[in-house]
Amino acid sequence: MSDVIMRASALTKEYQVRRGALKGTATVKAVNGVNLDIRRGETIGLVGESGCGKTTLGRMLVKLLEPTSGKIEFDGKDVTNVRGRELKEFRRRVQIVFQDPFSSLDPRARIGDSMAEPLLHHGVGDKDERQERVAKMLEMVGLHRSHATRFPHEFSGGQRQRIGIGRALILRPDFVVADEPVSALDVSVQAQILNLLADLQQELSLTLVFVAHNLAVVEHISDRVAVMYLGRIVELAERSELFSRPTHPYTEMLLDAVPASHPRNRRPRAPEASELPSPLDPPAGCLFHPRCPIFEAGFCDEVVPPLHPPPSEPSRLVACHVRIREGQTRTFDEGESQK
Amino acid sequence: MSEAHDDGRVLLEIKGLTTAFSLAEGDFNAVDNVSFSVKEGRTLSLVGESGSGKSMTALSVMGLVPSPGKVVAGEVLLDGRNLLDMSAREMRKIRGAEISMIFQQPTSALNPTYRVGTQIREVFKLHRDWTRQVETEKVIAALRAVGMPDPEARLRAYPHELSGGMAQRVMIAMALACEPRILIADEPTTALDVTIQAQILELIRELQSSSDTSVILITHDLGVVAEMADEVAVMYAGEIVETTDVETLFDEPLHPYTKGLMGSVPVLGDPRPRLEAIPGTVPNLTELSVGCRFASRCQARIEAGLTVCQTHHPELVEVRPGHAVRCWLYSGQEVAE
Repeated sequence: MSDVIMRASALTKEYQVRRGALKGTATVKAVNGVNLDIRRGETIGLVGESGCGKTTLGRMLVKLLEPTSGKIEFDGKDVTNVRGRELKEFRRRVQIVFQDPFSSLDPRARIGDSMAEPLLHHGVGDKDERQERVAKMLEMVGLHRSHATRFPHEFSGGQRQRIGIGRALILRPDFVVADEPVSALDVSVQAQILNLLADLQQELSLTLVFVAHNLAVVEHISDRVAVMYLGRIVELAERSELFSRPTHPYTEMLLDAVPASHPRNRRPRAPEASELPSPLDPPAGCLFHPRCPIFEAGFCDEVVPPLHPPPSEPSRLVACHVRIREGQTRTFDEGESQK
Repeated sequence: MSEAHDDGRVLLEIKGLTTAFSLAEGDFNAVDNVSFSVKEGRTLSLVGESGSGKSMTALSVMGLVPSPGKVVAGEVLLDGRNLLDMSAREMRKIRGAEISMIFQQPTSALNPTYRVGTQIREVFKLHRDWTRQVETEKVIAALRAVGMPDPEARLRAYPHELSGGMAQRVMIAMALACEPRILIADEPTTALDVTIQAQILELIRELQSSSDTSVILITHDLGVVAEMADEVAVMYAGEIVETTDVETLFDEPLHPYTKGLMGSVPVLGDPRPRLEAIPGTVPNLTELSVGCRFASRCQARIEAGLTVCQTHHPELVEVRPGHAVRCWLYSGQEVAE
């Protein structure tokens, strides 16, 4: 078996957007030529601000969205255009957990029925066997087997997310995308769900793609982390490498923006009002250059930087002309000041 | 940064504030006997999860409790005047001029059919007697103060033309236009991306230090608290369960709920193999037990073998100067250590 379970090559998703009555339409590249190898059994975090394409990428990986161009391989097989029986088999092995546990469950269906539906669809077992599998899964996600006869409104947000996770896992998939699975939950409940996901990932040797905007949550759960900006991956590295020595200036900006963990570590910040450029009208060259503190005119604003390893670090990928040329990474002094 | 137990002048004092709701599901106090004070030029943070009563506390102070809620007890003293005794007319003079509030969703707090400039001008029409030309100058000045690029042009923008961060800047400009003495910020950055959050927090901090405004900052995010607060009140199920200065709270949290919150949040740069989750969920306010509202989720209670927690409601007790906690573990005895 290959080490890579999922491979995205030049994956792109475009949307046509109406600009106004007389201006015609424009093309937004929600995901723009992403190459990504996901290793069997790892947890990979996709992180970035709203509009960076992390959710779109996650949904293309599970084939809930059709890519405009590019290729997806799963277990060595091109699944970009699979249909029928092959698609059904893909769906058995690849599942998704959604952000909002309130809207992703049918309010009129009993929990047990909602959870048994994937089994029914894939013709797994008879009625009794399915019931037993649902009961076992409910226990696995920290609920009780008797909960199967209840309706979604009888559960709290955290419990509903447990149900969402149970339903995603009931077919024993190999590959799960969790799209912001804890951001709708109260802080004290988030930790329960994060612990549950980490446990299940171990227990079932899942490959997990964890999509989130919260950097601390991503750091907590991931083995490797990909940082996205305006539809592109700008940096990809092992968790500890990325957070202790961010290399792309955007990764640095993101980490710098995270509030202090203790009042003694407060820092003065630049309150300049730099914002994400409109994806309708993206800048030329490096997409980050208008906000970049180390940008070099005549270079960064003309040539798109490829995602490459810096000379001394083969395990890291970074899309930055300047940092690749420097060939070395600055030390991130944050590491010491933030306990 | 805050000096512990620094004695600033108390500007706003809230005593025994209780806000009750009567719904089909039952009666409950969304805010239950809440007391705190805000000092001049300082930031008090109300921290809690959904249903803790932190937003309803703010709305009670502003006289904006939604029906069928009602403030049923307590005092809100601004310079010794009780705002709860004031008429609707008098409160309109206070809101915007002496106390302002900004909300989590700036785009839904702005009127989508009016230009930004018109909405800010509204504040001046209500509280100032200026000519139209002076008003326009002041609107531009207000937008400039919040770091709005090209304020002269942005006057004519409609809210939908602004990003979330820019819309929040407009809200702040509007809230601070008449230089209120107190700004209540209810989750002002929760809907914003992290880089924009950093900008908005810095903006609030700068404006506060240049005008000596007091801030009541409502949030669920301990990082925002660490970044902004001087004093903190932790709320749970409608009550304050712990209150102290921000450094003490992070150095020595006492209430098991406060400790639990800190253990359950992943900290950037300090990945732990496992988070210490608080078991269970926030209680339903219509079905509160007679004892401590946190008792059913409290591990410390079990470890200490306390039974009083389920039968008697603990009071908020000052265990040392400036540090009060509502927990039987600390009641009637000195804090160990």
